[in-house]
Amino acid sequence: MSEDVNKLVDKLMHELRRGTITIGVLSQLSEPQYGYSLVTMLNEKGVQVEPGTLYPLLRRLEKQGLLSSKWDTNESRPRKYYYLNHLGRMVYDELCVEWRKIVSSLDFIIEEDRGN
Amino acid sequence: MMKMIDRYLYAVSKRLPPSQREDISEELRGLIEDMLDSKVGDREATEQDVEEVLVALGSPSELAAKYGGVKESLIGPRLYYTYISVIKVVLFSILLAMGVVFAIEIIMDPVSILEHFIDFITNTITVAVQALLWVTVCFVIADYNGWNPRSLTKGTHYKWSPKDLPIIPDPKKQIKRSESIIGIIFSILFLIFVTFSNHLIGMFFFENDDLVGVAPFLDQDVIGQYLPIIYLIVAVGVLKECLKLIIGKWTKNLAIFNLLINGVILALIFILLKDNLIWNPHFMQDLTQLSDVEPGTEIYSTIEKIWDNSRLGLVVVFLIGVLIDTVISFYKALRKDASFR
Repeated sequence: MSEDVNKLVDKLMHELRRGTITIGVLSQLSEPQYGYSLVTMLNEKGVQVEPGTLYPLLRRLEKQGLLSSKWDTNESRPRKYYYLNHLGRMVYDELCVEWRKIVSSLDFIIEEDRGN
Repeated sequence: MMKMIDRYLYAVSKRLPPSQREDISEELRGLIEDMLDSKVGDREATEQDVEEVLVALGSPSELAAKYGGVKESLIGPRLYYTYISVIKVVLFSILLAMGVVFAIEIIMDPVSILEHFIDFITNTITVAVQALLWVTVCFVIADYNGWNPRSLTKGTHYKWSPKDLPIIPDPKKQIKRSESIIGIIFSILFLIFVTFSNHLIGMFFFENDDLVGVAPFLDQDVIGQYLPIIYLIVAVGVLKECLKLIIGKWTKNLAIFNLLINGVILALIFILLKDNLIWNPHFMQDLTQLSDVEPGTEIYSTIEKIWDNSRLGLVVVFLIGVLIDTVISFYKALRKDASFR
């Protein structure tokens, strides 16, 4: 029974995380970062993300105009650095506001449920 | 070991839009190397390490799909970009050929410009629809039969292993895309001229920079009967170029197929030319009418000689061309793979 619970929780958490990764990524890009350093940073801070998910996401955010990028070819291996541009900064700030709203309304709902 | 990474990147980038391939590949190469470094630390990375990193990254088709690559559809991701480029080439050549025909027609006959314009529009649309249909049918069949390097798109339940990665074709055996594309363009240009404006295939005469007329090479009364054979030659030729684009490198099977197709083309050309009926029997008369070349003069007999010999010459050129094409294809297909270690 608990195995079923775990499986279902895993599946639902996977869906839940997918949407939040974007906020996590945007939050770390005030300073330019390359993909793998971002994976490490996020994982250290408890935001689970696979490189296979993050790399396409970075590219998508760039295409949407939230991120800018530049290649750094001075190091031993060439790396593509991404950073938040003006539009990305505005979107990120707005997303944070929206996120807090979600947190507080869900907190309220959960507490209300407990109270009953 | 690096070879495995190259093969992985090749398998991913094949499924991505051509414009993004290089950039994404470079980025992923950096990622794979970073992942390897953090996995092995100071130790030397082994083949096993590379495989584990690639498995962690996921199968090439899944990764490409996350990059918004092509999903499975009527024409799957393996052939999708080839299909799109063939369609572009075909439509471009149709438009070009029709445009040239239209331009020449209005220079020759400026009064009926409206008529020519209507012809131009309707013919272009009819031909384009036909061409799109046939190209699509060919690609659907090719995709269905799996005429392409071994596929990795077997859904997510399929346990993916780096050992399944396709081999990167030896550059010496690779078929240049431009070669096939130029072949297709010329085939279609030829087809359109023969169909809609065979009276324009000939010798052009100018007087004071004005076009005064054309002495056609082909007999317009007879050419209609031969059109099906010409269509067949062009269709078979285009099919051959499409196959070369799809497979992308010379293999033994492709060389054999090429031999068969070339045989068919030669046979059709033989039927077309054997009784010399398609040629304009009044070519020399047309010539004298349009220019000041008089019968009996030296220049007249020179032109006549060239005209008589060129028909035989054309057959010889075709024969040699087809022969060279066949031999080269076998040479490239059967030569040993450059050694990779």
